[in-house]
Amino acid sequence: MFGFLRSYFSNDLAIDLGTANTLIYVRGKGIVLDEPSVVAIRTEGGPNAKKTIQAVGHAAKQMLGKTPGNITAIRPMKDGVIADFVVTEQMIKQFIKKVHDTRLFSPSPRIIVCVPCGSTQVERRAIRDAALAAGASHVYLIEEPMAAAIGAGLPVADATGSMVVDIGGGTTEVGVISLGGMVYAGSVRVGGDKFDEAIVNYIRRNYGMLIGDTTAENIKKQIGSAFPGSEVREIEVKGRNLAEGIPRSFTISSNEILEALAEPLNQIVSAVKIALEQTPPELGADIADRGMVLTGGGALLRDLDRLLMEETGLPVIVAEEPLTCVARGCGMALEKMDELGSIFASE
Amino acid sequence: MNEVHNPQGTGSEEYAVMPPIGYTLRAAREARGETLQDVAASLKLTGRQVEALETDRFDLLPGRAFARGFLRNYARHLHLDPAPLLAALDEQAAGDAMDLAPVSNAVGTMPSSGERLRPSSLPVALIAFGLFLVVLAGWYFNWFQQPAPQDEVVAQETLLPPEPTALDSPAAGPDTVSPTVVAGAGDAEGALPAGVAPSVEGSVQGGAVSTTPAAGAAALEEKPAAGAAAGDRLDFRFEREAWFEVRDADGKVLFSGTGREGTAKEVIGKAPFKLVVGNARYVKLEHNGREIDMIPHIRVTVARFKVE
Repeated sequence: MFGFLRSYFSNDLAIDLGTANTLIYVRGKGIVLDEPSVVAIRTEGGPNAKKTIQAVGHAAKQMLGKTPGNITAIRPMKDGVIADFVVTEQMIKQFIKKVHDTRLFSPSPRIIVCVPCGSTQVERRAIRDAALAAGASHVYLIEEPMAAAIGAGLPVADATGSMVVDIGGGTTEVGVISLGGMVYAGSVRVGGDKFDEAIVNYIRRNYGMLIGDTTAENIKKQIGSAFPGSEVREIEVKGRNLAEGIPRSFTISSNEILEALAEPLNQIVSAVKIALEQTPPELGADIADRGMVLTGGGALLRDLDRLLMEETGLPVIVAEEPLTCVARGCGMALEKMDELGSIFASE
Repeated sequence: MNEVHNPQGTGSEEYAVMPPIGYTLRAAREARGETLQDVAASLKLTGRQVEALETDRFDLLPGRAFARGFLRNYARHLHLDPAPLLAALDEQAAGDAMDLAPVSNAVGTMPSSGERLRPSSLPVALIAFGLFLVVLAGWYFNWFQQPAPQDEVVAQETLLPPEPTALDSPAAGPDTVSPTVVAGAGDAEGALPAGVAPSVEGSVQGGAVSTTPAAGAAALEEKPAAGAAAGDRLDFRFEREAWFEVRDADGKVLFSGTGREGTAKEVIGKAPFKLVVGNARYVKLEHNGREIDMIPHIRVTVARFKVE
């Protein structure tokens, strides 16, 4: 009844609370915030010792792995779900504060948050509670593959099967969607973070060098690939030599990274194959005709679509702007949230 | 669109108009010496879909998102820049608004088991509310207060001495009899009200009757008749405050209450009476004008006895 009042006092938000990045979509404005999900907390000493939030987002990400003893840079999300409840809540609060104009009344928006389809009831409740504690008046959950499919522009409401593979920072979600609902949803806890971890492990094993997660992420972005291509690229990396204990630099090639990523990539390929096996045959026929759509930051890994194409024999397309697909999908659901009921997930 | 099949024209920078997408693709494919089947096998598309791309028949592809995706994959395969091709595609087919809700041509909700017997709670709620209002109004206007049955019990409290106003009252007269008769119920109506009506205090609602021995000759004469017809009469006079209870021959409670100091009470009913009188030493009792001594019946302060 008082919807018009509420819309005056506070804008509804859609949040893609990802392991790596958090994106916020404001109703009527689009994506207004895209920041890493990192919080830096400073512990103060002295007579009034307390913990304060030093930085969030980009500023905090630059501190990762470079902090002194009294500052901790935390990534509160792990594997797509909340690993540190209090920090997540504070992070959401800070992000909401950034996107909301300061008004006389503190904002209490309705919030749509997307959750991995493989998350447990407890994990979903934690996400809902974190958003409520951050000031939301109502929290609605939407499963990531559904949001990704909407954001990628797939015809989710049609009576045809659409397959979407969302490779995020912490999880890879595979969903088959028809008639506005999920027919199959699968989730494996493999994503960008696991790629980085695999690169760190590979370099330690084969080069005896220790590199940080941020460096590994850089290597992945610059020369990482999922399928052997014609051109081989190289990058110079600096790390600490484990035997000497001294920082050294060395060069690594894209073929080596391909080898390093083989393990997590195989898990993604298996998840896709399992999804195809479990899909009802009528929808499988649609998927054979249209193929699957890749979204999420992982879709930017070079030739990942080629890998899946060769492994499944189906056409694979990468969505446009895969990084923001989920947030845009959440946003479209937000714009129509009052008419739509079926696309939201229950706990 | 397809009329621009002019090999010399393609690739020329002077052309202001973009050549059709399909033509660009086919030219690039042929330049690489690939067949439709090669491309289809490489992109895992069907030959029909590749052909649709090359003939600008994007309506044959499964949808806008897929058409754009296939076109981008094809352009990448041919080492072409996909951006201008995608821009051209957008010009050709304006994006239709995406529908998030499945097609629906029916309205209604399925009944859930258990609700079927109760179609809607609204009428029930309205009726309940109406009843509540009626009860509330009844309580407010005293609709439910029953008049005391006049033939059985007539009890009234008056201060002593009560008489002065009664005799002088202009209301005393035969005219006032009839309304009281109407108010009184039961078989006593002819007898009792006659003795009752003249008193001023008789106007108290519900047929309460004054004990005043007032009201003129006619009333006095009729008094014994009233007693005979309606039953026996007990007169209490309280020198101090005392509690008492009177039951008639049927065991029905005619009166139960407290008489205040210096007051009198009259109870009319069917003998024999069963009485319980507290503080009995300070209560005087008359039965049809005959005084009854309660002293022998008193235990501690309470007297329990029968009056025949």
